[in-house]
Amino acid sequence: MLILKEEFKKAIIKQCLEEFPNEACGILAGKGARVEKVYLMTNIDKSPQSYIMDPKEQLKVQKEVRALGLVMVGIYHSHTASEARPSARDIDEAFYTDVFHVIVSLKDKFNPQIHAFKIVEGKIKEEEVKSEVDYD
Amino acid sequence: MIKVTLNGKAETLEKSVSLADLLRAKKIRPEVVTVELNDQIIERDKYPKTVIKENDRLEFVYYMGGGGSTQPTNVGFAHHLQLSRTILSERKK
Repeated sequence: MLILKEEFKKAIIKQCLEEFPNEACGILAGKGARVEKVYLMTNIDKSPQSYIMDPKEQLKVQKEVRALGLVMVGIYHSHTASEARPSARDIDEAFYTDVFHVIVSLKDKFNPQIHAFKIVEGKIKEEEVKSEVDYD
Repeated sequence: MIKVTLNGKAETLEKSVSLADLLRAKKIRPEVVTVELNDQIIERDKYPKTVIKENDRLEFVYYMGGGGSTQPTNVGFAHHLQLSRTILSERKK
């Protein structure tokens, strides 16, 4: 189960809608399965069908996450026209196997869907995404 | 024995090795990882000649990509890797 506050869900969906028609992507950092920080990353592929993260940005985020005493909890990206399920490419290119792979579907832009998965050696397991109300 | 730091954690290597050999020992495919050594990104074709020394600081990040496309994976991945390398190469200029 991935714990993702409403505040973070809104930020992720906002980014995905702003990047549309291209795919958006980002990194989720936190502790255990709880997201504590969202990094909106650049899709250097700038494509409606695929994303690549900038390795330099990844390096910067990796160090910052560590400095904050957090770990990478998940990676997210949007599917602009398909379901929130891993594609063949998502499965084949899931080199981080111990994180949640989160997909935001904008197939219906008025009702974005967020689903999370674990992907290990080609096998997909859907994980629950639990919201927490942000009590700020 | 030499001591290095990898992704913030201390590691001990039996001896100085090339970056290529280190990746091989860790069963990491060179084409899916970007390596930063002492704050410098190392180009992949330099991995065999880059020697890891005492107190070196290494950062490994894996390729992060994918997407909803139905394009064959190998075509997409090859494109992605090339784009990734191009971006890194341009950043060095």
